[in-house]
Amino acid sequence: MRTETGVRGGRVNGQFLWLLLPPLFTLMVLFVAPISLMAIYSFWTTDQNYLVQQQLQLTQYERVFSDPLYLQTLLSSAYMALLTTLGSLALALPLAYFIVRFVPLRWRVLLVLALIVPGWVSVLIRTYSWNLVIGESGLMNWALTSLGLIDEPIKLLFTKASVVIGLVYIYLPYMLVPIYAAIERLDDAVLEAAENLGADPFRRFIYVTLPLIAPGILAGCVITFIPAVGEYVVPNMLGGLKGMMYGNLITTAFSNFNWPLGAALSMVLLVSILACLLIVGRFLDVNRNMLGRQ
Amino acid sequence: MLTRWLLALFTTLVYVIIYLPIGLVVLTSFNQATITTLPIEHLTFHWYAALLENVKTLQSLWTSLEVGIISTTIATTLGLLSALAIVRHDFRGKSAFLLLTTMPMLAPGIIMGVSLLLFARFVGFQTGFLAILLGHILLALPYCTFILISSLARFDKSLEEAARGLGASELGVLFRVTIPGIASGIIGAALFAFTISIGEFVVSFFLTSAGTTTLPIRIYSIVKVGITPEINAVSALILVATLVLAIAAFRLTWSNKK
Repeated sequence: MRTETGVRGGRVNGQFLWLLLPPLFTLMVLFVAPISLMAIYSFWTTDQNYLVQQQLQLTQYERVFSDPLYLQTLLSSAYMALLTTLGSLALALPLAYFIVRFVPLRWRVLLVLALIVPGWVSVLIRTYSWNLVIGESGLMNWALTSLGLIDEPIKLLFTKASVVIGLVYIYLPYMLVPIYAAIERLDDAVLEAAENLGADPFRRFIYVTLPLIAPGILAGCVITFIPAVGEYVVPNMLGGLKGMMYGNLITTAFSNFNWPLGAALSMVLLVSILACLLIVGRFLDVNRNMLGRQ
Repeated sequence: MLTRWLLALFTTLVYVIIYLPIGLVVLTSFNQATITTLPIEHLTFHWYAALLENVKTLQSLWTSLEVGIISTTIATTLGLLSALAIVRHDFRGKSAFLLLTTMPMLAPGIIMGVSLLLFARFVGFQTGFLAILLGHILLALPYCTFILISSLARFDKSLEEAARGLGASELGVLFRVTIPGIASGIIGAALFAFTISIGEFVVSFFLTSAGTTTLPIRIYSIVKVGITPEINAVSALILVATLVLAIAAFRLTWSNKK
């Protein structure tokens, strides 16, 4: 590569800049600059007329860290996101394992397609659709009442549980894809070797399969957990007051015209996520898992 | 053997759970009652007819399509440039650039929406159509880039070298060899970008203005006021449209892989 660049020097370099500059410029203007501005904004304050005072102060952060509402909601959002991650994992792992190991190839394509395609339907519609299932006059209560199992409809909607159900539903495809890919990459020979050496299916799964697909599982957990913590639509539509999440607080700050507070809340979320990523990143090879390359 | 049947049962159950809610949306869109309740007593197309007369909803659909088509075109083009730079060239800071491309996928949508709103107001940029368009380009760009990276990486580079050896210009190689060679990847990326844009809510929610309403924002405002079967009708229509698009996208990217 180096010799090629050397021989064809200026031409390749000029062409290369034309390729790189437009996307780089886009990312700088639409991502780096806004996030940086948000970081600065979080140190500003507002006066009584909601006008922003551009002096660097810690007012917003003091407020975020002194009012238990904010940190408690962040913690409960993290807890709900964790439940979402575990729930999706519990659904995705057996599912992906079954499809890869037991379903013939031509059916496999169809089954995977059937799993991913609903994930491309608007989040809003998929979230709203759970109203029809777990709402007071929804399918679940109708079925249970008709069967005579309950007299009063179960009030599942607008609780933490309904939010977690909605989140699992929305984020299941995120968990499925990397786990499926990891299981599909498994080498049959390794599994046969374990079998020949006398491992029963359970031990084979725990000691051979699981460690081999661990990077895929970890990748799935990360890309499920991160957007779930900052979720706004699902708690807003299925959560009510009881199922409120951190994203709702950010939006509230903005609709109250307290933008510096909203910026500070967003920064706290972003930094928490980055911290989690740095910890997990030590175990996760981004290149291998996200690009599917060895 | 038992494990196998248990797993099969479990898998079937998950598929039922996945399709049950969206199936109910389609079903209740034909329900005559004004409140979406079960059981369904009379089937009707009334809500589809009502939908066709709702100017605001139709207008928001049109806005969504415009934003979707324009942002898809731009995001796919930018993604192709990125992918060409990453796959065909070695440069310092390549992994940093890859990380920067990944970042928008890793930040929650609400942070993207908030930061774009702050930035737009700060530089005096009006929120509305153009702002939503730019937001959608940013959201789609990482996905387009990674889809195109993987199709470019599979494309045989020696074809490009052969064309160059036969005297084709760089642009000639790009438009007559590379782009036709990865056409299915490009179409896949474009359909992916379009599905992101057409369903996107949070970023548009922050960047919307009184004059510009995308369909998800319109749906949201209707759902917030009170749920009517009209929403189920809209949802059912979008569902069918998305399924058709998604299957097309999947077939294209899949056939490329095989």
